[in-house]
Amino acid sequence: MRVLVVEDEPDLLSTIAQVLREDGYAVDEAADGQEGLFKATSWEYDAIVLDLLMPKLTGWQVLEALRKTHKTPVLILTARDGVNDRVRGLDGGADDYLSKPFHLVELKARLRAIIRRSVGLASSEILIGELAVDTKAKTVRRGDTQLLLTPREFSLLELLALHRGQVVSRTQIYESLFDENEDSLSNLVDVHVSNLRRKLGKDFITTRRGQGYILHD
Amino acid sequence: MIKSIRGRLQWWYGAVYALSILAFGLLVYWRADRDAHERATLQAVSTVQYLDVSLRNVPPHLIRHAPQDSDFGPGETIRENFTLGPLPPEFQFRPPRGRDGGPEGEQRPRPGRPDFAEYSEGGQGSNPPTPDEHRRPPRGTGNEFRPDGPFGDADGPRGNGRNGPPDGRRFPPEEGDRLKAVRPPATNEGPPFDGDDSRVDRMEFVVWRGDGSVLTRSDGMPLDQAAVMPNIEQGNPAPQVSMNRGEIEVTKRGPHGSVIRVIRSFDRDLSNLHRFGIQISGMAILTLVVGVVGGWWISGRIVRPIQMISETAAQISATSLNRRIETMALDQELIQLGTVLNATFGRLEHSFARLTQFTADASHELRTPLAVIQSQMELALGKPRTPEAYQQTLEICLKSSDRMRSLIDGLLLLARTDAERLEMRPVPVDLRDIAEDAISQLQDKATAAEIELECVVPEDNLNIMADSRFLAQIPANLIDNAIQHTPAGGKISLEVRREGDKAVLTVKDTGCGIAAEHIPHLFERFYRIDAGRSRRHGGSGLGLAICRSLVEAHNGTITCESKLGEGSVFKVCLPIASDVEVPVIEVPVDGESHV
Repeated sequence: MRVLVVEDEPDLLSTIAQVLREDGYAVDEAADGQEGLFKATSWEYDAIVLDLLMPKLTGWQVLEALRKTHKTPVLILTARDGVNDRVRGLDGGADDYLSKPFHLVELKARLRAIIRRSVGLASSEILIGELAVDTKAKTVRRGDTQLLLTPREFSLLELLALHRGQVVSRTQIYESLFDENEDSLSNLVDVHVSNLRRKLGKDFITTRRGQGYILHD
Repeated sequence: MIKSIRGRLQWWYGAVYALSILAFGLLVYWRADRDAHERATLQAVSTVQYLDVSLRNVPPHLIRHAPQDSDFGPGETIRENFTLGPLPPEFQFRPPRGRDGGPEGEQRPRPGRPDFAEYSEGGQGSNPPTPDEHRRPPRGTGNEFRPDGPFGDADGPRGNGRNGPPDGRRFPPEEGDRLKAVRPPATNEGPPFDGDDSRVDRMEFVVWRGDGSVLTRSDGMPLDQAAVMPNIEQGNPAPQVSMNRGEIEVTKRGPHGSVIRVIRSFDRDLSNLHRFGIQISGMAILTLVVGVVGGWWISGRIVRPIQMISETAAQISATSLNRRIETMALDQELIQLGTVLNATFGRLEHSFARLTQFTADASHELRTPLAVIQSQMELALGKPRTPEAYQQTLEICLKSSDRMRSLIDGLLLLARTDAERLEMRPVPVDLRDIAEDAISQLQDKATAAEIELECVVPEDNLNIMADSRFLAQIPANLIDNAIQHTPAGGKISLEVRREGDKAVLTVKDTGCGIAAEHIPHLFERFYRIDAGRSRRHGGSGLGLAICRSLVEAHNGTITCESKLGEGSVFKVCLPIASDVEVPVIEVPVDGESHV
């Protein structure tokens, strides 16, 4: 999962980015509205955390511009907690609203919720055959057996599971797994896919040559 | 006391109408009353005069005393010899009858000199016929006795039928066979008046002879009033008028010791007036009712817009301050009220919006560092970390709490100046010292930002009355602000000088400048040219607002001039303490003054 955090308070930006990275997300950072809008329209994010009062462009303006082309789920995170601000944010296309000060666990939960809703899931647990992917606890079970996955492997599985039945391209996987600061080789995707196959079973992930990977029901 | 405008209007409306009607009615009543009296008096007096003149043609012996046989010749009787002619029409008072042919008092031609008493030998019906009689035959037997006429017109029910006229009327028995009054001819064809005779005005007369006996009287003259001859002073020719309720009594000494009295009653007039009064009162009550109802309607229409205004005003609350009275729907007089109220609501809304904005800004500024602290702590406690990570967390928390503290200090200071509870202890302060302190305080920060800091002060001292604790914040804030907005390599100069009776402190920078549209709002709390600008510079958004509050607390002014890209000049003017050299006062540093 790749998320963008747009926040003009540097300390808060780094804190949020750090906590999300520790949770297995690939996190991009933007320190003002302009940068945020640029990044949000340049890459496909799974979610965006957006502050409202920012230099250059306010969160509302970013949201307005973003909604013309993108349906990326947006969580507004702001110290403005007036009813009018919240209504304006939600009506402007935001998917959720969290006011500062906030708890990091709540931020993470809300982020999971808007990502889940964006792909049309109602629960945090995705069932694929006898495999249960818990996006909340970041665990995978087969029956009663807990499978041990690295965070990257889990992220890859989560991505494929969320887009079950659809072909997920290598670029998509790459952009979802690695943030802007990571300059890793694209064949890392193949490494992670083969690791997953080894842990979950050979036929679990189907390769569509020249297109990408697909997870069948 | 009616408190409602509507009620008052209503009652006014009704009362004014009713009072107008009543006043008009009273005036008419009074006039009619007076006219009735005057007319009656005039008629009575004229009748007396006429009787007086007529009596002069009667043989004096008939007047001096009661007739005696010696007064008449053989075979002569009063019946044949003495008759009273008809009264001329102007003395005939006949109450109007509905079926009377012509208008009341239709004047017949005066019958020559219709002598009241005509002395003739053996003749009957000697009185000259009136034109009326020519026109139509006399009623009844051709007898000259007529029930109608001025005298005793309405006393029909009375009469005893003996020797009386055909209709049963007759003279009183004691005089009837000797003295005959000839009635004026009838003028109406209809049956005798048979209505309520109390409403009929009458004129009655009586003539006493010199010896007190009655010479003649009209049929309607009450006996008791005719019984005693009034004692009238001899030789008093003027008629004496006395007035009783409902009647005028005129008494006059006639010729040969006779006394004439005419009683003219105007009961009918009075009762008409009475009726008129009742009608007027009824009219007034009716008008009052109509007025009250009409007033209710009209005042309802007047009051309705007021109700509309109050309904609108009642709907205005903290959440719906944008409602306004529709002045287009109002009457002209109320448009002004509506406009004034709308303007008031506008100001209310504006100040409410400013308050809301301020609260939102203050809460935003407080929540942001709080969010940093909380998320940092949560992150640090999330899992075991290195000592460096903990140290970094603590540093970030300290920075954030510093920011909160300065923000709270600023808010408290502003709140105190707003409430004028800044405990100022003004003493003479040399502005040069303040400026130099500020420079030395911020020198390090300017150096760190690679900005040159310059201080220009005059040679003479520049004393102002100020509290140096607060005054020092002004140049400090201004310089701090300038450092934040001046790029490296820039220059900030602080200058103190004297301009007339003002001490002037200017802070000039070579920074980015401020667009003209922002300058009027520059000193507002939390006003940001760019929403995130001060965040990066660590400012609270209150610095310039605090400056203005403090300058105003020192009775000074603060202004800003700026050009985009060239830099800004902030100018503070403060009143100079006194032109006289102010002695340096030792500020007591005892505990009491700080309590």
